Amino acid sequence: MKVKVYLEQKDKEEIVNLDNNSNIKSLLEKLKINSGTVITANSNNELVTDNYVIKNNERIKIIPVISGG
Amino acid sequence: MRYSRQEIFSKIGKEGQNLLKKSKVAVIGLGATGSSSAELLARAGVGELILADRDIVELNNLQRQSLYNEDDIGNVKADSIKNHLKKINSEVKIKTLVIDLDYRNINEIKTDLILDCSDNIDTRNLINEYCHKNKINWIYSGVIEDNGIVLNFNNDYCFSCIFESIKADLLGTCDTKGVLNTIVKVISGIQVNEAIKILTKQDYSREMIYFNISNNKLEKYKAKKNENCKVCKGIYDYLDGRKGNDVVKLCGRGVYQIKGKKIDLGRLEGIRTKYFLVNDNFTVFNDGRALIKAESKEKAKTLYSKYIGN
Repeated sequence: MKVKVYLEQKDKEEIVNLDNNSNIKSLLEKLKINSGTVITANSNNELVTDNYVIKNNERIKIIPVISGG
Repeated sequence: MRYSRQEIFSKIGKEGQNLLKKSKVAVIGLGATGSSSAELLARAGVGELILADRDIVELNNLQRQSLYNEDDIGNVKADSIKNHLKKINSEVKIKTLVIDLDYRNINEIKTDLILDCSDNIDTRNLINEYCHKNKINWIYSGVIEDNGIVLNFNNDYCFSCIFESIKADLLGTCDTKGVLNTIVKVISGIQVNEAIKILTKQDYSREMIYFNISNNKLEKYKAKKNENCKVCKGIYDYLDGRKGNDVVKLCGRGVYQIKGKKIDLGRLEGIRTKYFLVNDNFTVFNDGRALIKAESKEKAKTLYSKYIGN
């Protein structure tokens, strides 16, 4: 299946091919993004965790966590 | 008269202003966002502020940390900012805590609302568990580079519901990535505006606000409870002292904080102040905390042992 991935840090969108029923964890592994540094949101702009199952053609946003103050 | 422009605003009015006057708010961390948010709260007329910070003012703070000036360099941030705020609004009652917040001292924060302006995930996890246990609203803020984030927590969902898998050591800091002073002001403004809405009984945001000041893009994300969240089940690893780090790198410079036992400052050589002793190699606080300039965590620990002891 195809997933649209928006990378907040780079303000850039790309298409990623994934196996059906893949979750956020496998998406991040494919993109070589450490899951300990980002949070993710689904097409409805809901924050979702690593085990969220991605739908075909869904748009996933990857948002870097901000720690500085 | 002081608050006339705020009281005339329909969403606050005299009633809202009275609510602000009766409020007590804690600001944890008095760096970039914390100093700015504390100033806004004092100017807005919040009745009582608790200001907590572990650090001293340095030259590289002045680019983005409000109110501090060159005369404050070398002084503790909490006392410096109190002096400045008292000149802005002498009606505000201010309590300062020169501490590194941990499970042993967080109970000193007795308040209606906590503004998180800290610079690390461990402190946020601690604040989250304390607020969850005691049913206190808190507002997370963070800034780095040209990005900022704000999110309210009121026990509908908690910090751990969203950020449980985050690895603090992997995140960039203002030391490694930098930060613009302009994003600090935006995020501080949003954070304090949310605080004022909460304190004056207005509806407030349940969404995570993410703002990039280079492209002026604001995104809102819906937060929700994670049914597997340990904190929401009442398991408090940070508050009960099972998690947390006694050696941390401070944001903004190559300085490590090491928490040791209380020591007799009299046996060390250096310049003494009310709170600490400082010399060329380290700053040691009354409570046994030491700030040590070093290239790595390991070297900091070695220097701690050499100068202060194990």
